[in-house]
Amino acid sequence: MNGGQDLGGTHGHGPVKPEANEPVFHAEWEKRAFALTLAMSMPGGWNIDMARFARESRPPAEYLSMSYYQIWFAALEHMVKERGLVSEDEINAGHSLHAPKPVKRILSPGDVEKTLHRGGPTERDTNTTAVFKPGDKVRAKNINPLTHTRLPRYARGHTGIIERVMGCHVFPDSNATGAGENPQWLYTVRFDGRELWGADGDATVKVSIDAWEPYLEPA
Amino acid sequence: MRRKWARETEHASSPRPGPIPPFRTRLLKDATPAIAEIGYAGRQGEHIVALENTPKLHNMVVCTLCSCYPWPVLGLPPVWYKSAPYRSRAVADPRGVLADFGVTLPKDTEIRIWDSTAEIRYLVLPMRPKGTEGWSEEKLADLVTRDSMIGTGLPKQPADIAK
Repeated sequence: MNGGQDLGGTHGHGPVKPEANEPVFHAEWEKRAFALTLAMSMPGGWNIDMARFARESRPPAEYLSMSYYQIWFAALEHMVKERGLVSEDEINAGHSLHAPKPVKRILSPGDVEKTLHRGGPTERDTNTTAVFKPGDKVRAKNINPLTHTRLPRYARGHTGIIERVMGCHVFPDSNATGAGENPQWLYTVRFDGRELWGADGDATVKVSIDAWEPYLEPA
Repeated sequence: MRRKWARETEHASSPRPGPIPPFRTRLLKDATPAIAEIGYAGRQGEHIVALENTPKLHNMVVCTLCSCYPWPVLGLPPVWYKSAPYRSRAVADPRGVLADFGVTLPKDTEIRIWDSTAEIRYLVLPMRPKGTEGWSEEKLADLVTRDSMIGTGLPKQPADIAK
């Protein structure tokens, strides 16, 4: 979706401001929002692409004015309500009011470390062959789905070169809607800065994205 | 991570002829198993690619769409990495972003931006500073900063840690 999250090349956000002491979390609630989001994916049954879609679905004005963990927490609230795990009156009350909905899995404290260590690899076996090879000239398609996609707007319609073939990976555009993993070949595609940003762009800059095969067409 | 980088860089730039030590080679060829050998693996580091900086090429990593970052090796990302100013400008005006960090690169250095749009996580292998010949692994590790592995910073210089 062309939401507030798709920031590459947008203007007016001001300078980057590194912090001097750089705390990992800036308030206790941020730790809880972070931990809850990770832990709740097990009873909630959502995948990383569904979670990303929930975050980027905040209206752009909200997305851009919220802090990072405010966005995470708002998305978490949306996802638990959507799945009937928590109801609006419970959110307002700040505690449980109804019998809990049965869930298939939970993340127990003892399993946290090994779950994080295992992670969620996205590469999948395939019996298909990659359409493109390194050196091929490709164009990023001009797509504008209302649903989740990982093809940023600044690359759409532009021509680049296949640099690396990264294997066959879970396709987020399908995975985010619940349509299944639908693994697709993934490529690192390199664009010249001036191809993306025009004659005023920096000629010494090259930008790459990682793009699944359905995002690309021969050029 | 910092110690391992230091060890292999030290060997690789040794004036003595000989085979390239295996870790550096393995890291650049397939970083995920190489990094797992020293115990770093897991969520947001399932597929890691290491990017070598050279005198002609400077790599810098961003996630314009959210906040993708190699957690197992660098920890959780700093606020600026997740924020609109960095995500918007890294791909369009990287020299301007580097200036915000006080970094100026030669005008003819190629700047390569890696936008982490999939589940591949990128880690920059910083360029070894001059004047560090014969340094121990521990001393070299002191030169490596987190930002130098994102590409928004350069490693410290020998003079910086001599103070």
